[in-house]
Amino acid sequence: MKKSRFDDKLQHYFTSQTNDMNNLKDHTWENIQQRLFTDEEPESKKPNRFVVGVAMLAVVVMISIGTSTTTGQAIIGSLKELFEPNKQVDIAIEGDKEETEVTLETKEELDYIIYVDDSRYKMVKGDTDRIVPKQELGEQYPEVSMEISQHTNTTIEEQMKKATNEVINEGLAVRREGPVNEPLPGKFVKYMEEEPNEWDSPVYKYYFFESGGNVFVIKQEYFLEASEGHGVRFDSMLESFEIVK
Amino acid sequence: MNEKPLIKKVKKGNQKAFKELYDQYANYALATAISITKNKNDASDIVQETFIKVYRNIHAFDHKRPFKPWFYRILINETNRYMKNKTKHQSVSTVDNTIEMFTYKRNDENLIIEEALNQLEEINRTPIILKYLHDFTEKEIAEILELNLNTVKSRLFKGREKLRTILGGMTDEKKQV
Repeated sequence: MKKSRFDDKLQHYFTSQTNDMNNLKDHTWENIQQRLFTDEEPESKKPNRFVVGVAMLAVVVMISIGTSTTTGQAIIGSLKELFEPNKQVDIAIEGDKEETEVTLETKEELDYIIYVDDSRYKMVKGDTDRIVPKQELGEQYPEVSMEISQHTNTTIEEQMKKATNEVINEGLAVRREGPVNEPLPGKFVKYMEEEPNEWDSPVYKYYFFESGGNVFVIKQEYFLEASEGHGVRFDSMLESFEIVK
Repeated sequence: MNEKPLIKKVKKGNQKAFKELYDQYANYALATAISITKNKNDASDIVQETFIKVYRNIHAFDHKRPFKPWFYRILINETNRYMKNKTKHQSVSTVDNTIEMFTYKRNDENLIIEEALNQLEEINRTPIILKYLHDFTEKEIAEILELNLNTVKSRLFKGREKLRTILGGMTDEKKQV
């Protein structure tokens, strides 16, 4: 592509910004150096992880405390008091804000809570809880879902290996991985094709967290074109994920 | 030092090599973050977090791939995360120290471009920054922003069109993508 005067001006503008940055650069390095090579516990800085950012209906899910017990009922009661029954929340999609009223729902055995965007998704509960589009997508669309499962007698590393083995068979590779602080401290892995250029190229995102000796695995499945839609909405819902102890 | 041997040294925990990597990338990283956030203090925080993440996760970097897109994917993700948290936790003040944010020398033309860029939506501004500040290809921008290539092309096109409209007579040229 031939460069125009317009391109040259923009390029010149941006290049000029990189000049005279020495003070800011030195200041930033001092902070990095202090946190990486001086601080004893740099990981202790924990961000606020429970901030609702999605237009959602609240669903409280209970999976491991036991059957309907007095304790369970007490927890339900206190949760109902803790969470507003209705509220308005926003989510930013493609730069536009969406607003929806949300409603609180509860079930019995509590282990975690998550706010679900009830206008677009429904939660199918089972051994593995699945959040799927409320209206079924057409046959031409790949699977779209977010699964939440809890595993006992295992480790995060074992579950990561299991996930990798599953998606490798579909021709996907690890595109990003590393520790995360949100929604809970744990591990994150994203799998995609090597050259994902098709609109329906699959995207798998996994979050692995440990709680009470058990491992939570959250699997998001969608397609490339839906990254700014379902991908953003799933992550926004996940921001409200909270383990109730 | 060549980048690949440098990265290998950083992977081994060599602090001097990490500083060298910082020196190579810091100016452009700060300029990128300033362009997106319009605030030098925010930019400093974001670049700080980015380099800390790079240092802690460099073991996960595949040395067969180019480092620059990997680095900028972390920077952009960190910028998005930071700005999202800032928006959520901000009460009243929104532009407290944006006025004195740029320490580089500005002329009238740069000021006009800066104001025009500020009027762009973030989804159009970020691809423009990656293209013109870093000379990334559309494919690389798609990878960094984790978007479909056609989406990137469309956002770049719309961003450029909007800039042209805002800048008006400053650009005497035919339209091109």
